[in-house]
Amino acid sequence: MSTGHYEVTSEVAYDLMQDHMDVMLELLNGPKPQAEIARRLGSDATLQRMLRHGLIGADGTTAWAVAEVYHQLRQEGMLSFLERYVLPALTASMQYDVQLGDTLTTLQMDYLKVPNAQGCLRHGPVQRFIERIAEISDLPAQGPVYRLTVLVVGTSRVDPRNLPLEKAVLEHVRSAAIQRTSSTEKDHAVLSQIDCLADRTRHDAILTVISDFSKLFSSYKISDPSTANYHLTVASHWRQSDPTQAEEQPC
Amino acid sequence: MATYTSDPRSNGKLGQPNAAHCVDSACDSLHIVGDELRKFLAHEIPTKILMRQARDVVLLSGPTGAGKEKVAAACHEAARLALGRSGELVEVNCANLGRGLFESELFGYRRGAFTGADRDYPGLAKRADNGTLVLDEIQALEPQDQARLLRFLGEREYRAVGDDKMRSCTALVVLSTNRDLRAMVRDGSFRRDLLDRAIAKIALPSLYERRQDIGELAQAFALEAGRDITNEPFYGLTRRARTDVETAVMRTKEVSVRRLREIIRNTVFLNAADNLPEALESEMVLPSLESELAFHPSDRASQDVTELEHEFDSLMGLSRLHEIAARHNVSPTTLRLLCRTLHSMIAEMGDQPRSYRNVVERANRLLKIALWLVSGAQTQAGFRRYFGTLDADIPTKSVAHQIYYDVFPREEAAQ
Repeated sequence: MSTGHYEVTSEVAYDLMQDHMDVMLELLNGPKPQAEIARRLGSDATLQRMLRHGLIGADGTTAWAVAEVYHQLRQEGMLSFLERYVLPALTASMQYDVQLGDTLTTLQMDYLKVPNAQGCLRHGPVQRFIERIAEISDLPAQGPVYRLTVLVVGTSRVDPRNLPLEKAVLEHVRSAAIQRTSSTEKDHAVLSQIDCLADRTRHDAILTVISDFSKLFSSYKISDPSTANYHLTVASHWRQSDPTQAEEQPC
Repeated sequence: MATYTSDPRSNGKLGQPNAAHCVDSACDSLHIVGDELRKFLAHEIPTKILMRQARDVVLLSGPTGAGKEKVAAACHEAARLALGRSGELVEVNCANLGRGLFESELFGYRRGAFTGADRDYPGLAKRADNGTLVLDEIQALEPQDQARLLRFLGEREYRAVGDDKMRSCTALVVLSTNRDLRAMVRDGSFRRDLLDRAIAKIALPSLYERRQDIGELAQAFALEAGRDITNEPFYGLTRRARTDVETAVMRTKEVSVRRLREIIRNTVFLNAADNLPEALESEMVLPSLESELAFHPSDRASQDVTELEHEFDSLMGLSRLHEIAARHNVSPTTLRLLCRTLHSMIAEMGDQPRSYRNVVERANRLLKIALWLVSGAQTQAGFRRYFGTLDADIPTKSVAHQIYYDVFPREEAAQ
């Protein structure tokens, strides 16, 4: 029922994807009863909207994702994009002074000196990285699945200071975001987020993909940011439980 | 007399209405849109009105079209809910009062007190008793009326024109203006002692000062216009369109809420000429933004950069709060309280550089507040014990004391 890639081009379709990401991920995991999807979306009217915009298919009883991969470019301000989409995943990936409990996170940050810092990563290695993750997320699930988010942030605007990890990552994201808003520099930066549902097997396989991706640049890695011409971070965040919904406490 | 508590853990079980809840309810009933404005009111109304039992005169200032009328109504409604005040909301525009009519309108008159007084008239002060009296465009009062008002605000007693009897008035008095009254005091057109009488000052931020409300407001106005046109589902503005509206307003800096509503409504009606589309995308909104606010799509990138330079650190603080809340089962209500507190902390920083360190230090402090609330500890000692179970740094007594009063400001004693 689903084939290949789907490019989300219209603003309305983008909004629908953003508003109902969890439902889309469920459908990417396999067809579901249409009534259940309508309930998850909040109304049949929303289901009809998604059908009208070609985001999902349905035959009256079952709904399904029309593609294996949905690709969308940002169609909102960069700040709101970061606020709603990127930073929640990034902060979850950065361990703070509190126990994480049932989440698994990874954060790999590297300074690189690469021969072609301008546009070297975006259309080649990163694209292949995303495709490999998409292939893995398509494998049959062997256990409960939960949302896994992988962030790739790259920028040729390297902060030359030797900053603590947390500070460095945040400056990195800010630089990448600024570059991505510039028509002349946007290809010098990467700010990509991949969301999928993963069981333990898929999760471990994706971590291997992340590790392989990092190894691609082994020969270019340096420790001194002042001589680097590219800054690359890959972060992942996998919650091994449903998002906690606290009861309303008296307040 | 009703008392209120700012204790966020109070749930009204003891009959004590919670201030934040009352302000929220007031904003809901008046359809006040905008998280930033609601956070602002959630701080201002309790501290400037409710804590003071609505006794202090309020000066409500703000640019034209900023929504002072609605905010005044919110003050009234919050006071009604929190303090059990049963009186009316009475509004009078001082600029519309005829010459010489202020006293009789405000204090009332007896039949025969003057030519044309063919019946008793109770006056606005009586109507507003135990309610709220809003004097809009206060700067328009004639000097002699300023003097009369000053006496009234001092004693809260008045006499109707032609009457011997002194009456008292317990109205919450709100003086509303879009002018700089201090400047008017300096040039002699407004009495200093009258300005000084307004002890509680609420300065409403302009739309430009509450960026995050712009998109939300634009969407609310679009949906309102859509409802005027059709019963069919209309989804308002897309995210891109809302961002463009926000960018256009931020670059212009002089757009009021009223003007924004006008622009958005006109845009919706223009696009409804043939058939109102399901939603307005940015291409449909751009012509209005270009003609009304001189916006161009190339402005998007530079606005993004400006915001990334100035707002990124605040975003990080908030993002971290949300993450902490999710990990520690902090309820949505408590999280809203924490976000408001962080916003207040950031606002207090004023012109200080909003560096990562500044904001995250505050976020770290709020982490401890969040954990306090989750712990349910009733005392500082209990809080410190809870921290011990987390194997985290136990705060010192003074820090615990400080955090406690951040969350639970001292309440005024009930009388």
